[in-house]
Amino acid sequence: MDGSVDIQANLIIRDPVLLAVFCTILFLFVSIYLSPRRDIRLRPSLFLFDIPEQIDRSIESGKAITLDIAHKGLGTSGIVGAASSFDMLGYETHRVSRLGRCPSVMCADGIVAAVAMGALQGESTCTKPQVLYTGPDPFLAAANIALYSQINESPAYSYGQASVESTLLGQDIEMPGISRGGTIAPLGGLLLSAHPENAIFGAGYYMAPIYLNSQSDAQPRLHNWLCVMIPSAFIVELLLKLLGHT
Amino acid sequence: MRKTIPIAAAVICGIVIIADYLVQVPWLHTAAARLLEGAVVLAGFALVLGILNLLAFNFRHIRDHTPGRWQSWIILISLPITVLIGTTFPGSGAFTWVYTYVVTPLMTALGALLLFYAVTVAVRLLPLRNGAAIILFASCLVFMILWIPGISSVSPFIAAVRNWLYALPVGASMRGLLLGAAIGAVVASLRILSSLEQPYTGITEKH
Repeated sequence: MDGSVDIQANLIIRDPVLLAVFCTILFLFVSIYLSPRRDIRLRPSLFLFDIPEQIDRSIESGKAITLDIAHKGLGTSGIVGAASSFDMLGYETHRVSRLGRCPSVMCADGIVAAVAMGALQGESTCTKPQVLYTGPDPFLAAANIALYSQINESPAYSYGQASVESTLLGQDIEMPGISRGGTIAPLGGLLLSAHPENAIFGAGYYMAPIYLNSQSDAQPRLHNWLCVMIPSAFIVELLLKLLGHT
Repeated sequence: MRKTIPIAAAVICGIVIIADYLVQVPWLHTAAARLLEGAVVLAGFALVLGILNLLAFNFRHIRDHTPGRWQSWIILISLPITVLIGTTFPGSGAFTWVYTYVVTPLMTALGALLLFYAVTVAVRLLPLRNGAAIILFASCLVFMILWIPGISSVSPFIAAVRNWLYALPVGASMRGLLLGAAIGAVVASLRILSSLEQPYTGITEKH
């Protein structure tokens, strides 16, 4: 016994496919970051560039700004969404308070609520910060709309993990917003009538901080690459299946 | 230093958890388990913090005589009752009764109201006479008709149309949306892990 540790015997790969996918994405991420010219230019939603203007317009019209962050607790997949929300929380609090107002915040996690309260209290304009804990699973779009009305009769701009339906309905009643996504079956049909001019769902939720944070070195390039690569992989898989390769 | 320590902690914790998810190494698994244990404890405190926040929010509503403060009274009365039932009779039929006969019907009622919210919005938009408003109104109407209880017994064709709509166009839209969100989440995770994005250290405006 020489006391050395046999690494090979102690290291077991849990899922080779998963590891390969992770390594590919990591390689892509590093190579894209190291070579600035490697880019696929996908046009982002114009609404992403309009966020500051939308916030200003809402404030000037005397309406509220609502952030609806962290719809899942810590330790779940929702934490990435909550982390992106923190960026927006900081940005919006700063911008809204510059105009003498204070945004309202809803969240489904106690610690996120405490962080939000701290962020709001840091601004001199937020004398009465409105942070509402909504419980761990405010799933229904109707519940979201009811919660909006509890905070303010007609919020003018919202950002958060609200369901797609409430964001769609929100933009139709002139409440532009960004939502992370997630939907429920009864109103899934509304997606077919979606004409999102003043609403963003899905990936846009995670992209918003990139367009707003001056300190961020992040770029949307990896996102653009994955947006092209992953659907392409699906199409190739479909073609292979059609050709009889399983 | 104020930034370095949180960034280092976030990056190290993230890498340990991801590595444990991909490969099985005993010491790594122990470290990841400890971190996850910490997260579970933190999540427990999060719930307590959340309840305190909810109580404070609703107390403020009552104190400030805001409109609709009766809703706050309902929360302040029902919350301790539910907690009392849950803690005094854990696992008993009483708590199940509360869930089955109070929570579930309320959630179902909210769900049922959903389409009416949509129709109200659609009707309010109709006077605009633009294409989007008409499409929204038409889709609300179609989906409301398709969801009438027992409509399938009128004609099997209606059930077939409903199934087709949900299986193909709606299903495809929803999957596309979820795929987009998943890509966004993967990229956001990598940005946070590589400290390109530091949501815990504040933000400054670009515009």
